[in-house]
Amino acid sequence: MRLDAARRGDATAQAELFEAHKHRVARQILRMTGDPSAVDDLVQEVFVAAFRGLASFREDAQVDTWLYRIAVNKVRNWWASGTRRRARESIALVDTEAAVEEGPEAFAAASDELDRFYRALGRLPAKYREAFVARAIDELGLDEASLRLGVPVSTVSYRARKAEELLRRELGWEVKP
Amino acid sequence: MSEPFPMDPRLRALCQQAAQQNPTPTRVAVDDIRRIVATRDRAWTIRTTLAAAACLGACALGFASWRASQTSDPAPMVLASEQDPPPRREASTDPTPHAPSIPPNVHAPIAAAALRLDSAATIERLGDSDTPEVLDPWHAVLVTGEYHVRVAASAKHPLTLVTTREAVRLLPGTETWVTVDSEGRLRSQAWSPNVHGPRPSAADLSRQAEEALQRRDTHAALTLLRRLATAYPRAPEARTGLLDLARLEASNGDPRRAVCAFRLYLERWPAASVRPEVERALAGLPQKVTCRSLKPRG
Repeated sequence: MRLDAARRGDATAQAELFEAHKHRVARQILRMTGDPSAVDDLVQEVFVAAFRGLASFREDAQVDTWLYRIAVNKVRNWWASGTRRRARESIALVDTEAAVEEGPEAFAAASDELDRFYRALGRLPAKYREAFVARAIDELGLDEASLRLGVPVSTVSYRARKAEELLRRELGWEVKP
Repeated sequence: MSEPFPMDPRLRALCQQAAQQNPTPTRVAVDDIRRIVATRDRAWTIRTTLAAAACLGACALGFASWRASQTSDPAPMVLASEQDPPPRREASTDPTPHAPSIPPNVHAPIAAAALRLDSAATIERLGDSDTPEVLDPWHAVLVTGEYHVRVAASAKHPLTLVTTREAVRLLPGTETWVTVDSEGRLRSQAWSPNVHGPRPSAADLSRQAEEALQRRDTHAALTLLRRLATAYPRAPEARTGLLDLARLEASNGDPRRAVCAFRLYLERWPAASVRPEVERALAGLPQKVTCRSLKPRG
């Protein structure tokens, strides 16, 4: 089996594993972070962790699910670290000279809705953010989200709804009583 | 049929937008990953070996000490007992005889523009050698009294005009705003929710600034970002907020203020990874500007 070969360190089998899943993992990470500049680093980290953990990978789990969980952990660290902040700083610095010429309108337009959404998402506690991303952005059903995040269905449901409430507050939208 | 999630249609639209993002083809190569795996595995082996060696060494040392203690006379042990109480501290005189009777150990939040109890500032009660328990950078457990706030002078905190002789009255149970005025004097003001409204957090100010930007209210955004930078000088939100502020000041036709914001950023975070970019941005702005905090002078 190819997975066994990859586990034994077979370069070809590992390359096949990487090629088969890299795009899905990259898309996953982009959805979780909203930051294209973070994708390559995190894809690398996910597969480094996966290759190192191949020996302990249980056959009863799907590779997709396993990689998803690794990605969730790596992205959690990314949100917690200064990386996200540095990315924001870089965005804030882009084109100061152009800003002088173009005026406040251009500046305001640069802070678009999706960036604002991800900033708000970044302020949520990790467990709520992960449940929300799984349910709302990855559009996973409750069972699948529960499996991928490794928490009970009821917990995923509660966390996702709580995240929605917190997000609306973070975005300054009124929360209906 | 199950109800849609998220329920808010605006949020749902944003989530759909987020789901449709497509990454550019990754530049990561499997060979790079294999190389990193090999390096980390090697490092892990070395660390584990070193840890095991250190553990063995510690065990050997512990065993040797134990053997030595078994072979020598036991040292006399001094035990504290109730018959032998520790020396009593002299009762402190209440330095504020007119202070209202307020239960002790009231948690009194201290909000300070330039003071952080964990680093640059210390706080002590007059006539009492006990230092108040500091719960976090903004909270200390205080009893009724007058307090000295001492701000350590350093290059990063140019608060040299504030001396230990400056006394600030903090009322337990009342949020007190402590600031340094333009002449270097320490000022305190009880925070009144009726007058000031609830004190917004750094995250609140950051969010409000973003909202102001969204509705193209430059003046409000500037005010909020300036307040964020001065009220929460070390908050992560202030870090990016300062850069946003600098850029907004520049785009609003005030490059001298932009210079001050950029300089303040570099002063607060001299080792920031974006330092070269900030310096590049500064190079394109007026050079002969003298700043006091966020304000250009003259």
